[in-house]
Amino acid sequence: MTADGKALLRIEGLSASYGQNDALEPSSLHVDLGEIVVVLGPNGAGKSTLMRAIMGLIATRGRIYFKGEEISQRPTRQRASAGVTLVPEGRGILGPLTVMENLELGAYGRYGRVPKHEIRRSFDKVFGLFPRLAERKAQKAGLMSGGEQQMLAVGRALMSDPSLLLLDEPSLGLAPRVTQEILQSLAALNKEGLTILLVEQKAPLALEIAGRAYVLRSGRVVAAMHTADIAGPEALAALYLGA
Amino acid sequence: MYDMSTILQFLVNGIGIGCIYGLVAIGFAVIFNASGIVNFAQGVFVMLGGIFTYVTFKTGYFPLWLCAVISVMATAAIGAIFQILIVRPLLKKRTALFMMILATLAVAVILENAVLHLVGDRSFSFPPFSPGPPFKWGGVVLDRQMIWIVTSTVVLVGLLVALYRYTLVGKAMKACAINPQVASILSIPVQKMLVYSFALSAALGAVAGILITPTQYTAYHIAVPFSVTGFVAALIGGLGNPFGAFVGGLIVGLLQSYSVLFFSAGYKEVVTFSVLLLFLFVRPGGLFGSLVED
Repeated sequence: MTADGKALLRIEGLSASYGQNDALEPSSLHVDLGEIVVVLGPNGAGKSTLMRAIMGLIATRGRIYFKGEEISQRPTRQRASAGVTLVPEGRGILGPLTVMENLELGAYGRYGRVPKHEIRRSFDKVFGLFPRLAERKAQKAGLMSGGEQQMLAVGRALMSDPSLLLLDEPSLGLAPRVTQEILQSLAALNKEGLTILLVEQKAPLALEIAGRAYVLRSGRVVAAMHTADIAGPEALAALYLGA
Repeated sequence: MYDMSTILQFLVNGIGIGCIYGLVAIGFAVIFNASGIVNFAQGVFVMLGGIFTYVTFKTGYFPLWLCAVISVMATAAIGAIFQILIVRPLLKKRTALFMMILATLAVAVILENAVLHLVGDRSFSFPPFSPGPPFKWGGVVLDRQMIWIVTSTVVLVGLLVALYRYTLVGKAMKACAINPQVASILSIPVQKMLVYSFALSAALGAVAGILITPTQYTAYHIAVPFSVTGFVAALIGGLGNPFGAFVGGLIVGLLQSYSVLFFSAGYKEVVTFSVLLLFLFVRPGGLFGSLVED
């Protein structure tokens, strides 16, 4: 919750389509301040669509509230300036640019608005969290491994000093050990106060760090629960499949 | 056999026209870096630079340097309007790349014909920036305007390389070309960057036109040859690489100059495009590659 008791992010009746296809049926969910919430569901459930919709990358119907203000009609850039940022599916790193350039651009919206030492502090935080990035500052991002690119994508998102971090399938294409490393970093960031909304296919790993979960199926939220209340893999599978 | 002063004279000539082609090619690079599209209206900006300067100078109200400044600003404004009215709506519709290129060609033809109807089909020129006799070393003649061309080009190339390498705005422009959605997530004003890029590209074309007009002429029909040759230079240098575009321009300028010397003026284009074909087979990414492609 925010200071006035409202959710940090609240979505009401949000829907989206690609052409004639409804990718997201009217869906509602909320994320409270300081939470890690995971959105689960099978392929094609609309999870990525939901993330893109929150970030304003696709046209939507319905309402999105962030810090109590409606942002449904705001363009992506304004939502980013308000404190929402997205690590997109596939990482979205700028391959021809170096690690350092990617990180600098992560703080683009803050230059001229915050003191330089605060941006330097963000660099220190990212390099502290992901020391491998510090070793590869001058390397072109496109030449890094998948795990390193994911670290860079998360690091770049942190450079904007967000209030809400959205991640779309951060484990995609990564080995389990690397996925574990990334998710543990997210858990550490959450302990420092960062609110996280996470889409993941690898449910067991995500459920280890999340406090609540939503399940999407066929573009609709079909279940919402505290992760502690999930009985086991069979119960989760039943929700995925609609049994 | 040719004597050394003849060889050097054609070298000087080639460098001069090569700098102009380089500026046109850099204009291609700037737009490609920001949007990923190839703008075949680039030569029109060269033509407009010369035409606007001539028209304002002819009024007699303004000194030549101010006419040049007005011309650059007016052409930059046209570049910005072109982006807002034509490129932006087409990009929003996710128009295929080759259709975007056709659209830029269409705009080039429209603007060319507009100029034809407004000022006629005559050729125009205006005085060189520094009046006076050319410099001579041995048998080599160095036109004063040539010094302006080379110096201005080198300075502009240096500023552009610095823009993309050292400034946040330059890196943001590259980000817009690599992935505009990610750029918007990073709070980069993608649409504004595109407008700036088109304005900058148009301004560079205008500068090329203003620099070259005192040595040749300007007229409505110079746009297409400059577009084509500038594009060839951009490809040879590496599409999207400003420094590469400059070097590509010099290469094309020298190729054309020495074609005239060793063959005849009629072989200029044959030699240029033969070298282009060679590059496409052997080194399709150009000499220096692109700044925005992996």
